[in-house]
Amino acid sequence: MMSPPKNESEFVVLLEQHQNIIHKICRLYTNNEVEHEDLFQEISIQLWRSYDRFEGKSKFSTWMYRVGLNTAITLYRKEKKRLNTQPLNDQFTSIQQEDYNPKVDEHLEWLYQKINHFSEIDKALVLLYLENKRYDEIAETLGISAVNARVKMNRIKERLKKMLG
Amino acid sequence: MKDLKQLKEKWAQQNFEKQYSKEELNGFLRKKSTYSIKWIFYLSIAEFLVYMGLPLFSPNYIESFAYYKSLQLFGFSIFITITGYILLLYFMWRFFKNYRKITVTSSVKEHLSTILSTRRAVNQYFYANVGLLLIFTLVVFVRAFQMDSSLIGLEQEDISFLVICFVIGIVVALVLGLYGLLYYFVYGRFLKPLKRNEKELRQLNQ
Repeated sequence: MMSPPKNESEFVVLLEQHQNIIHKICRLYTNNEVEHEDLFQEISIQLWRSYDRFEGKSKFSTWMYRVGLNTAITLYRKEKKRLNTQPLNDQFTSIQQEDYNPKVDEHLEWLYQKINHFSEIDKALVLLYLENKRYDEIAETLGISAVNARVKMNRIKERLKKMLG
Repeated sequence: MKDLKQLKEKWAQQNFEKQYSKEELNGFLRKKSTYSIKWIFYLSIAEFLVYMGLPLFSPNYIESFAYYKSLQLFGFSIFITITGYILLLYFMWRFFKNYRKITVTSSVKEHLSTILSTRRAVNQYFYANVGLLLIFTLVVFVRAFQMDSSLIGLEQEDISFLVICFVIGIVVALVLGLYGLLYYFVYGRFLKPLKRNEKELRQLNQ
């Protein structure tokens, strides 16, 4: 486990190396590239501001999930730009996101569109599941018991399975 | 895509076209945050300063106490004023405590709980203020109709008690409405983003 660097340039190096984690969170919680960039900036700011509290007890990447998800779920709001209504069908979802990251793998694009109307917490669970996080890490990130994390993860797996048909 | 294993593989392989350079990331760290909790605390400080400055900026502020004195409500008006300041200081302390406690490095559940506690504090602050304002306005009106000679005159001109009550009701409703609007626009702006969190917290606890 690496000890945390104390200066800005070293922090930026870490941020650059792990930026895909933030991109994934942004892709899950936003509807277009402008919002994606806004949220990316906000997560970067929050990471940097709380960096002095990062003690290196967990991996930098694990810590990023926690700060990133907290920012996406609780702090970041672009209500006016969002369509908060439930998508009526797949066609609606694809219209909503048609200009968002068109070069992403078509299977992943399908996945992102499908989970676009999931609740904020369910999106976090999907992310942690797909990232292969252990139950104890999921429990720690979300602040729930390991048993509860296991139950929630099973529910999400079932939901994803159903989606895959 | 057939199964979850394949889905995970695809997920692990994904690459984002846009990769930020060190220079761009450095620039991000200097941008303004949209973090809303701190603004609730800053607003309460601003409100406190406005209350403190009220006697300086409002020429009728001191005179209004002379009027309350004429209604034999001087002690009551001082009591309400001091209670208002105590309430404000108490809630400022609560906002500050939450502001310090809220950190993005805590777990999602803890984070949501602290945010909701801030929201509750703002709501309680609003209702406490409305209550205080309502009590004060009603007491002053009732006493004014008993003791203010210009208002007693109205009664003598055969204006019925019901009409007077109606007028008092309208004035009180207007004052409270304006107060509510002020809070809606001042604090409501910062509370709105926090509203949805209640549902999320419930889901985590299920």
